[in-house]
Formats: sequence, C-alpha cells, structure tokens
Amino acid sequence: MGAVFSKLFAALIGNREVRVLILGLDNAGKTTILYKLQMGEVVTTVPTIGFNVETVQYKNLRFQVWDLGGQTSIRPYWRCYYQNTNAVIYVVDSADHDRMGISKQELMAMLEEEELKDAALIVFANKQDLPNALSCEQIADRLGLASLKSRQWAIFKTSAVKGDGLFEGLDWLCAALREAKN
Amino acid sequence: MAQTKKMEEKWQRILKECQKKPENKSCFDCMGRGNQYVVLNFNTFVCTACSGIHREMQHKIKSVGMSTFTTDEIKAVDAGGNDKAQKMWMAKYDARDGAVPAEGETEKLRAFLKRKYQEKRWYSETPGATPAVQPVSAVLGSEAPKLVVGACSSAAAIGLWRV
Repeated sequence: MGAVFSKLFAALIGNREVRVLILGLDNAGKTTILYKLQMGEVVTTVPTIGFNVETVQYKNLRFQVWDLGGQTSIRPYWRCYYQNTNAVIYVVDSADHDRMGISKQELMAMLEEEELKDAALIVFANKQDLPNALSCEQIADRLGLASLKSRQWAIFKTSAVKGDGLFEGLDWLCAALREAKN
Repeated sequence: MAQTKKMEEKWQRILKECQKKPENKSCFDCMGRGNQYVVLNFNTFVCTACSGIHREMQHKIKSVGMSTFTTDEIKAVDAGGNDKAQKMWMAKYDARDGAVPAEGETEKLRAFLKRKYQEKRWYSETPGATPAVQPVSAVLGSEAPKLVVGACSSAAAIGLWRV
C-alpha cells in the first residue's frame, strides 16, 4: 500500500529514476565525471575494470549512473548494460587527437544498437582545461554528430577536474527527458 | 591473412614475455607487485595505482590484456623495459634523496612522480652516467678564490662550498 502511494506521489511531482550510462574510450575521464557529479570531488582514479555505479540526485530526478570501463577488450561488454537506458553520456578526451577516429567508430557502433534507439545522447568534450584541447565544434565535426537523425543529442565542453559543464549537461538532460515524456 | 594473424599472435606473445622478465616483474615506480600496465611514453611496466597517476600526468598507458598494442608499441616495449628506464629516469638518484614511496602511498607517490618525470630531477640522457667528479679548478678556473677553513662568513668561501 505504501509503495502504491509513494509511486503515485513520485508520478505527481515527477520524481523518477533515470538510467544513464557513461561511455567513452579509456582515459576519457568517465570515472572522474561520475564522482565529480556524485560527491563534487576530484578523486584519484585507476583504469576501470568492470563498472562503477552511483545514484545522483539532481533537481527532481534520481539518476542511476553507470560508468563502464573503456579499455579495448572490455568495450564489447558495454552492450550488456544497454537495456532500459534513458541516456548515454559519451565522454571524449578533447586532447587525444589521435584517437578521435576510434572514438567516432565506437560511438556510431553503439548508437546503432536497437536497445539504445530511444536513448538521449550527451557528448562531453572533456579535458577542456588542457592547452591542446579541441573545441566543441571540432569534436562534433570529428565525431560526425551532424549525421545523427531522429535522436535527441547535445554536446558540452567540460572539465571534470574543474567541474565545468557537467551540470549544464544534466540540465539539458532533464529538459530532454521531460520533452520525451510529453 | 593467416600470415598477418600469426604475426600478430607472435607479437602478443613477445609482449607477455616482456611482462614476465625479472626486471619488469615489479612496478617501475613504486616497486610494488603489480605490472599490469605499460606506460607507452617510457616503455615501463607499472602497477594499477601508478598507472592512474601517469594518466593524470597525460602519459599514455595501456593494460596488458585489456588493451590492444600495435606492433610498433610492442617493439618499443621489447627494446625498453624497466631496467633501461631506471638508468635514465633514476640516473642521478642516490640514498640522500630519501626512499622511494611505497605501494599504496598515493599522495607521496604522486609528488614523487612529478619530481621524477615533470621536473626530471634524476634524469640523464646518457644512461649509466654518474654525477661528474672533477677538480675545483676545472669548474672555477685558476683564478678561484682560496678556500679558507674557519672563515665561513666569507661570501667566496660559501660560494665555493655551494659549488
């Protein structure tokens, strides 16, 4: 009975849980982003084997955020987490010019998956604090984002260590999810 | 095609063999037990924790087993390794510099690795070179002021001492 009321209550004030995946190549900054969102702190990280998952309460949404390891031989396991995903945060190391092509390939392969066809896409052009970082426009171009059809997407310039841009991304996501619901 | 695959397997085997060499068995930076990661900038084997610190410093790292190495990268690792890197990056290191922080002392290790790689505190281009020892006259010339024992207030004496 209590559960019914809490569900009803949640529906009325719009408090719901949103499933978000953070994906991207190794060393893009996924784990740093997750913990910056969750605790507001820059943590010491090591390469992620497997995943980290945390809940982040923002505005009236509860985000269940999954950060999956990005090294080459564990990328095939990303697909095990696709089901029921509302949004993907795709993180790019803006200073890693050499691997933009690989990052694009992984992104496009992921977006082709049936299970993600309704998921919103946020690209974080991360590490903007580094001197040789590419701009948002350059990254959007290198990833071929303009070719995306029938998907809600946005790109933000971020610096996980400074905390810049992360919550702007979540703001956009809140609006996008509201739009998708109506 | 089969040829390429065979070659690739051969190189992967070489990488695994490099990892097993005694010199590469422990972490290059903290001497801990892990050697799962290669720092491509220096062709060294390091533990997971140190690989994390290297990432912070924008060094490229790859995991043996979790990443794919190109043939060129494996060749470089094969030609490099922890012993060679030790002779370059720790060439000028001696006991007076204090002990290397141990596995698990993350904060200390981060500071230590900054000194080691960013300030190049102990680095030498010519591996194996010891700090040069030469007569004072070679440094200061024949006009060098005399060292007067017991008159340390003299600026010249202090200057000489510092050299």
